[in-house]
This record gives sequence, structure tokens and C-alpha cells, in this order.
Amino acid sequence: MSPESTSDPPGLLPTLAVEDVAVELGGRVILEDVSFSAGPGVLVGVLGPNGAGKSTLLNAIAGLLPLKRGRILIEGQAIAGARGQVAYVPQQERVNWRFPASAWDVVMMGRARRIGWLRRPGGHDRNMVRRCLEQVGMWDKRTFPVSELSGGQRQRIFVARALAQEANILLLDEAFSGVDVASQEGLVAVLKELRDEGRTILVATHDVGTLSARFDMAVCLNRHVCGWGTPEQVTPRLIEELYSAHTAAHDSTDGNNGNPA
Amino acid sequence: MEILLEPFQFAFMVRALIISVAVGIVAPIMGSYIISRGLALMGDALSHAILPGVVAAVLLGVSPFVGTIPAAVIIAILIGYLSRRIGFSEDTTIGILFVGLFALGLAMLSIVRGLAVRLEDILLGQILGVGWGDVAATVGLGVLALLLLYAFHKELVFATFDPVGARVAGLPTGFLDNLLLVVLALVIVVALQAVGIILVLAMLIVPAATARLLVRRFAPAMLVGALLGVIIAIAGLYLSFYLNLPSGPAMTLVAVILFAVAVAARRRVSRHP
Repeated sequence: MSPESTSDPPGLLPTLAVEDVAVELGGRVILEDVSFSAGPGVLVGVLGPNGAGKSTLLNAIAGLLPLKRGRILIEGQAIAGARGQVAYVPQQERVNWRFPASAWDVVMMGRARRIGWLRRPGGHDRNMVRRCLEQVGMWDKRTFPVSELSGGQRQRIFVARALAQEANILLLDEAFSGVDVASQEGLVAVLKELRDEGRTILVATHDVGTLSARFDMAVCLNRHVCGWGTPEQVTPRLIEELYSAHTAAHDSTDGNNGNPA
Repeated sequence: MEILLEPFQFAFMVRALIISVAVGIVAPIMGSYIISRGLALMGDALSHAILPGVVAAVLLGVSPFVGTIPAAVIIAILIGYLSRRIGFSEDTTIGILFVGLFALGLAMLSIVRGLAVRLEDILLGQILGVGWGDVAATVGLGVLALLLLYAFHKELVFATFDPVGARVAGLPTGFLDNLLLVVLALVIVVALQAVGIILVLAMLIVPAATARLLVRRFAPAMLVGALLGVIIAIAGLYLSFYLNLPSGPAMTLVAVILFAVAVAARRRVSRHP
């Protein structure tokens, strides 16, 4: 399986192209020679052992980390020129839960850049927030403080925020950790619906067992790309990497200190 | 009724009232961000660290505002910069600058004797002795701080709740963090005369925290905090007038008592739903 094989029709720019990317953090190489690309309407699982660089990859695509080498193109543009086209659903512990925001407030945050400096949200923005909340099935929870919602409900609210941002690429970091299985299925159903509308969605996850049921494509990551293709193609290689992972040094910079699911 | 009106026969009490209300409105609104972002130590440090600026202004014979505003803004930015560069945690960096500059201010004060300013007034607030110029400057700065917080509200909210998501969405989070520190500096200068260096923190966080106990949404909690702040400021002013207390401790005591009442009321409500 070559890195070029993607679902996008020939002649069109891929929605997301990661080309020969290397990332160093604190002098340590976290990612090296990472290349793959994804067209519109693909749901991609990013898997690998702890410390494989899954979060680092999503952070790099989000434009949060400098690249040591290579480039990442969004619709053919460098990330700096594509600000706002990528939406990021962070790991839960990176969000400030002390901040008292309702579900509505969080989704409205997604409108901030579209509204523009020194302006207030208008009727169009409120309609947009309503539609996004309805699409993830959270409209009836709009007045609830997000800190009091369950893990799965919070993830839906963040996905709604990404929709309100009108982003084409959604990055979800450890979207399923702390979310019970039934809610995970609900979240996957929402993501598949968004995929069908043409969005490109990357989800970092530990869960190999559900890979083929949930994702169209999968990246097996262990500093390098050790596999890229359909879940069926990637799973054997992934299991190999996971079982040999205990020999690899534990990597705390990835932010995944939990146990693999 | 007479007890309520009597103090305001005096022009100095009218001036004190205006300043108190300004502080009561502005400080808790800023304070909502302080308690959401965990910046309480920063607020405390900033208010102490501007002492050299206050002393320098007095030495030069200019209004304390001339010395405190640049001092506070520079220190606020410096703390942000140093904690990013040196690699100590932010609270360590803040602690070092805090004690260093406060000590410098104290040293300046004791070297230059015979100043027309008392250390106690700077530390504890001396609202009863302010002139109309101070009133105008306080209100002007307060309005400026409110305008900045209003103008950047939706961006500040996003960056406070989810800094990473905000950056990815294209917001300049570094600029927003610094902006908030600059506004904090302005608010501290505003609050200085009313409550003094040591107790600025009280007006910043106590009414905002009390409001958070009562209201569970950010913007409404801000407004409730401002309402509480005004009540605290006015009640403190009366206490200060009738009991001959410095205004800072008087307002702080009222604020903390209101907070304790809110905590007790909430416990009662949650025990008997």
C-alpha cells in the first residue's frame, strides 16, 4: 500500500496531505517520514502504541507544532494560510473545566473567528449554533453546563463546535477515552454522518477491536507510518506493533499515559 | 435613613463613593477571568509589584497613576514572558518577581523619608483622601478596562475555556493572554486607592467567586459579581466611615462575609433539595 493511495479522485487536491513530516520535541524525534493523504469524506483512525506520536501528529496537522521536515497541506495550502479550516477536539484534560460554559456557549465559540473582531453574534450565528447542536443530537442539552455532561455528550458538543467553525477537517484526540461504549457508538454515528457530508475526520484512538466497524481508513503510527490503508489491511500490522510496543521506551510527550484499551 | 445619607454631606465621601462603585463594578468582572484561569497569585503579585511605581510617582511629584500604569503593564508582560522562557513554573516566576519588586518599593520608601505619602495608605487603601483628579482617572481607567473586556469578550471566553481549540480555530491566543494581563494591570491600578495593595486581590476574586456560587454561566456570573462588588464597596465605605477603619479591610470583611453566607446557603440548598 503506497502513501498515494487515497480515496480522492485523480486530479483533485487531497483535503489533507501529510508529506514526509518529521517532528522533534525537546530534541527527541517523535515523528519521522510520515506521509499519507486523505480526500474529502473519509473517516480515518489514527492508531499505535502509547507514545507512538498519535497526539503529536494531530497537533502537527492542527498547526500547533513546528515541523522539523516535510509539509502538511490543507486543500493544497500550507497550514498558516488555512487557519480555521481545521477544527480540533482536544483531549478532555486540556480543556479548562473550571470555566462555566453552557453547551450553547461552547458551540458559539466555534463562530468566534467567522463573526470577526469587535462584532457580536447575529441571527445567522444563532441559527448555525442551533443546527449544529441538532445535528449532534444535543439541542435539548443546550442550557446544561458542559462540565456536567457525560464524556460522550461533551465530545458531541465539541464536534458541534467544530461544525459551527465550518471546518472541513476535524481532528479528535483520544475521542473515546472516558466515554462508555454505548455513547462511543453514538459518537461514531455522528462522525459517520459528517463524513457522508464530505468532511475529513481523523480520530486518535487506542481501540483496535472496533477499527473496521468505525473507520474507512487507518494509519498505524509508531514514529513512522507502519501501515496505511483500509482497517482490514492495517490491523495485522497494528497488532504486531502493539505487542512489540512494551519494548519501546514509554513516551510521555504523547500525552497518552492511560492504558491502551 | 439619616445614617445612610449623613456621610455624603462631605464632598470627600462623595468622591469615595464614586471610586468605590467603580472598583465594585470593574474588579469582579476582571475577577471572573482570574478565577477561571487560576490567576489569583498573578493578581496578588501584580498589585504588590507595582509598589516601586507608586513610590517613584510620589517622588517625582506626579499622580500615582503615572507611575503605576506603566509599571503594572510592564510587570504583567514580563511575568508572562519569563515564565515561558526560564522554564520555572509560572507561580515560581511570579513569586520571585512579586517579592523582589515589593521589597524594592519598601526599600525606596524607607530610604526617602518625609514623603507626603504614608505606607499604610498605600498598603491598606485610603479612599477618604482622594481628590477629583483621582476620581476622574479611576473612572476613566475603569471604563477603558470594561471596554477592552467587552470588545474581546468572545475571543477571551474561547481562549479561557479551550486555549488549544482556540488556537487551532485561528485565534491569536498569545495576544489574548497578554491583553488580559494588561487589563488586569489597569484594574489593579483602579482598585489600589480603594482597597490598597494588600487587599486588591479581595475585590478581584471574592465577589467573582461568590457570584460563581450563585450563577452557573460565565457572562451572567460576571454581572452578578459586579452587583455584589457594588454592594460590598458601598457597605465597606459605611463601615470605614462609622468605625474609622481603613477602607481596604472594611470592604474585604464585607466581601468575605457575603462569600461565607453564599457557601452556607448553597450547602443548605443542596442538603434539602
